[in-house]
Amino acid sequence: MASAGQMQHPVGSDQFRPLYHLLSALSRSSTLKEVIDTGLSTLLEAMPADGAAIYLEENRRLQLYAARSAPCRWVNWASQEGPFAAGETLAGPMVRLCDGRSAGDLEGLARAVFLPLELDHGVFGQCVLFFRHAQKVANEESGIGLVMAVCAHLALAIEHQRAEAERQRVEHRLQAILENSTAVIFMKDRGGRYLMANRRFEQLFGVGPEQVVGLTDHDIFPQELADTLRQNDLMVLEQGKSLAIEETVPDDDGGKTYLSVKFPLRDPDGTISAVCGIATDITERKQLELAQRRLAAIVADSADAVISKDLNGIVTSWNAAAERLFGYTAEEMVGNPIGVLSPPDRPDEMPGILRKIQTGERLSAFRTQRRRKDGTLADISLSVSPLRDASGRIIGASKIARDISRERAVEREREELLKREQEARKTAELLNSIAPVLAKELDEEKLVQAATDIATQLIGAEFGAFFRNTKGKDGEALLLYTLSGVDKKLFEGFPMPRSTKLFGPIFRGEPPIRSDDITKDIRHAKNPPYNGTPPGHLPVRSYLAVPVVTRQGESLGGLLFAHSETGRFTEAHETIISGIAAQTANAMDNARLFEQAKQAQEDLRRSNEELRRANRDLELFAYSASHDLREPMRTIALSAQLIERDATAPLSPRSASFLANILNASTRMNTLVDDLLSYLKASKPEEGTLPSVNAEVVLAGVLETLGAAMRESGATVTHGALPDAVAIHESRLSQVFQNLIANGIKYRGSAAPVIHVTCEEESPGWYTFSVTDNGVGIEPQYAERIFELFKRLHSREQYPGSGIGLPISRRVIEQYGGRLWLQYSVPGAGSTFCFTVPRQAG
Amino acid sequence: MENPAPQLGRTRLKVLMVEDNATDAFVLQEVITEMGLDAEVEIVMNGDEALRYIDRAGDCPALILLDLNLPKVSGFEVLKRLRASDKCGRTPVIVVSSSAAKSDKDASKELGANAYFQKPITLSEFLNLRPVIEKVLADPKTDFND
Repeated sequence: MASAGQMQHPVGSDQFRPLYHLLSALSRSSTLKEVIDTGLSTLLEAMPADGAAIYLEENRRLQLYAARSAPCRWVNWASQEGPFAAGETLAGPMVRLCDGRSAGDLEGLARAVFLPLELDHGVFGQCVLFFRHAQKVANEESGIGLVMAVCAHLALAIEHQRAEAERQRVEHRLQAILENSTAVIFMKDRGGRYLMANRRFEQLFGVGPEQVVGLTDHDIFPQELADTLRQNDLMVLEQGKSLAIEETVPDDDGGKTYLSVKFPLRDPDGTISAVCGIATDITERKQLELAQRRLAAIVADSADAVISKDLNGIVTSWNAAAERLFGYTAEEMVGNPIGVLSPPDRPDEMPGILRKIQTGERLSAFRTQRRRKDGTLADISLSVSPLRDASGRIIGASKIARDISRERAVEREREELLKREQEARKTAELLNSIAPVLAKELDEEKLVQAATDIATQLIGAEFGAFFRNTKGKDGEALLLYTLSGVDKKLFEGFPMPRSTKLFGPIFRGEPPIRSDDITKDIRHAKNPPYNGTPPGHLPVRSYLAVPVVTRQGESLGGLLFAHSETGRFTEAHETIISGIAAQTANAMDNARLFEQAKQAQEDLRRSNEELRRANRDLELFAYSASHDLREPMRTIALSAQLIERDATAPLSPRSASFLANILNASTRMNTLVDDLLSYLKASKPEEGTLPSVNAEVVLAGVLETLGAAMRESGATVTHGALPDAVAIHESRLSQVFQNLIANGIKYRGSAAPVIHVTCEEESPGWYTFSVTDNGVGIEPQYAERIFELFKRLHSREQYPGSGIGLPISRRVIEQYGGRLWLQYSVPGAGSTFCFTVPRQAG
Repeated sequence: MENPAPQLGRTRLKVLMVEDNATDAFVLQEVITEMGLDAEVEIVMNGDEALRYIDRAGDCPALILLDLNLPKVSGFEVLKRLRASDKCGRTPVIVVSSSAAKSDKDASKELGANAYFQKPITLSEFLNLRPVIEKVLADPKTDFND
């Protein structure tokens, strides 16, 4: 530091003029450079120096800021040789003498006056005046004081200028932050009027920073929201501390949620004058949170077990469904290895899955099993995905396990059902193929042999047998009926099986017996005398016995099958054999029925033949008897006539009467014989092929024959359409027509007879003729009697005739397979007779 | 025609009646007599006799009335043998029977009878035999359609 003794302080009346200049110039200066320029000018004005420079602190050193009229060497020298250190306090001016050792190097610099720029915080700069002549400095003793004053002002001005620049820089920064912030930033006074708001505010709410000042929330937002916002502001104002509040503000996108940090702004005196708010849009975060919460809820409520684990297989999460599925609680599992779920029969599965996950693979709907806490196995469908951290690194796995125990059970049941259905179908097909073979065989032994052979083959038995139920003198016995697969000789020498505990039930028609190993069957060994298979008997292990029972429940016997190996006969085999047994029973039944039917038919045929023969004999007898009768009867009649004629004397009245009786009786008898013969004749079928006759023509012929009778009685006979091809002999049809029409005329009432003949084809191939008259009719109780031979309803005197017409007509029609009957009759009003005749075929 | 023609006027007409029923024989003879034919009626009572009569006779009868129902040898047998023999094989034969059976009528025709007459039950009806006899005598060939 230079000594104060070297300093000179010139004082003059107008020597303060530069100070005024300085002050007025400084007041116009708005930048540091202008201040410095002004300072340099004022310094050179205050002292007649050859040059001046101003240095300001920078990085703890005083660096040249600006110089005027001073060569570089001076300036650099001053910078290095300056007496002040930055921050030094209470420094005074100092004159440095430069002539001497280094004047030559300093381009003629003689003196340099160093003046500190110092404020409360110490030296922060220096002003240097350069002189070429030493005495100038001396002459300007008073000038020192002036430049010191200048420096003092200058220091203030620089400091001020610097502070202002700093302030502006800070403000710019703040402004930039405000303008570019994605947060909404605003400031309101105590009355709620906006003092400022940033661009984001404008972007969101449409009110720019320029317009917002002076407005309140109520000018910008809906009433309710504005009230809430104001309330929040007031809370900050009252409590005097910052608040973080979530506020929801509606906008075009449907509303946003903000996290508003509101804090009081205090005046320097500590009073709160405003509230400032920084509101950050947390809508996305809120949504994310919500989504996460939902996701968490979904996971928690999921019906599927949702589990996460790290790469070491340690469980990191475990939901309620997992607890339900596996029986372990989250407390038991989280933090522990998941390996406890590994089923004993597949220990490598879980590590394998984990290895796959580590390579980024996923596992989807993998069907497997896991062990529950209680040791049972759960059928699950497993999906596993890798879990990654933010950088994408795989850090674990999330697995979803669906309980498919029920589905699997249903599936297994379905598979089982399907299998059974297929077996049943196969069985049915087999049985169907067997049925015709058995059904067409009507010889019982062949039938049973076929059934035994087929059955033995079908189930792969080594031998099969059918034992017939027979009734011997010792009661029930079994007879080996057929044998399949082995020579019958092998069984010779063995007694027929008895009704043992094994055989008995079968032959009583009880359910089948099937054994995988009959030697282990308790029923087998309990039969004396052998207590098991008789020695020398074919070896039997697999055993199947099925009863053969008819539908009527009669036990016919049993089908037995055997194999020397164990476990050869399945349930399906049993089903098949049961089917075959049923069909065999059925077929045996049929065969027996067939035999019976054949026998019955034969019996019937024989009895028919006997009947026919008897009939024929009877007819022959009747025929010949009639003939034989005729002769003597006629002789009686003739003799009586001859006696009457040849009598030489008149007969007594009594004799004459007796003779007349003889004549009458013989004549009637003759008629009876004639009728009987007619009837027998009607019973004899005509021979040869059936002719085709025209019914209308036949009727016309009959009417001609009956012409006299019709005229005499005044009868009218009409008819409807009659067929032209009736399969009956003309004479026979004529006979029937004649009889029925003659009856209509003969048995007439008081009115003239009216007779109508019709015909219809009532059933295919058959004509039904109807002959309706208006005669006396027939009382119902006589409806059948009129068809009996020689039965008369009326006296001979009332209606002559022998009463044979209707029986004959009926016999005639019956010869052609038709029927003749009284359709209806009303006594006193008339009758209708019907008869059927076949239509001529073709 | 080699049949010996009935010799009317020269000799009496010979008629052989084969009939075992006396009443019938009486009535039949009456019918022939009442026809006014100069006939000589020979009556035999059975078929055997009838055949022997024909064997014995020098001339064949002009007409044979043949009953069917006869003892020993039936009317059919007589007819058959007669038609089969050389002698009198063509003598007109009228079968006179009480049978109404069509089979008897057919068999008679089959065996060579010239006509068939069913014996009636009244005397008056026997007169119906007259035209049959007249017809057969006049033209024995054309008479079976009654």
